Amino acid sequence: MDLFAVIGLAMVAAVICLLLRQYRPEYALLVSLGCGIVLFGWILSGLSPAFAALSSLMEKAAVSGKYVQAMIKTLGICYVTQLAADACRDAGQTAIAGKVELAGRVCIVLLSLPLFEDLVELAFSLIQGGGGL
Amino acid sequence: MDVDLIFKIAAIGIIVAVLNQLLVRSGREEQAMMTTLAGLIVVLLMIVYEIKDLFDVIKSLFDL
Repeated sequence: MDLFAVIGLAMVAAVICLLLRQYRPEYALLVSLGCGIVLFGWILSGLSPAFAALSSLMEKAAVSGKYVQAMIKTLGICYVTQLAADACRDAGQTAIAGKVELAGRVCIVLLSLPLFEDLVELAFSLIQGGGGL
Repeated sequence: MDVDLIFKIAAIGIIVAVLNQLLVRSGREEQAMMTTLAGLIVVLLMIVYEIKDLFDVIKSLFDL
């Protein structure tokens, strides 16, 4: 990922959108969506070494791989949801964008429920262990 | 993930706008509407393939 390439592409796409909006507003939306997809692909290619480093760091700290994986999955859901919701909002459909965000939230809750169960189990075992003293 | 995608979409948009103007001025509203529709479908198909590529990358990167 090259930051200056991202900035240049974003500004060029913004100007093209501004130009197209006068004649064909739907193409302005498609240009902005295409720009978002290309930029997202670039950013993700820069993000993968960071994930590898984070995973090795967590392995050293003896944190279970399940928790790191859940965190990374949540991040992915957030990014995808944000992309789709922003595209809908650009098209003027705030209600659909809200539904997309709601779907993302539900997915994240479903993903994090097992971790919450682990936490509750740990709390119960601590309480029962304390009662024996 | 290529920058050419954006310029392709912009070029199709400009060409369709010009064709639309020409056809409307010469009194062929139906054909103008068809041109708009065809251009929109072509661009949507291009976008859909890019979205598929992006989702494949996201699925492999985030283990979704």
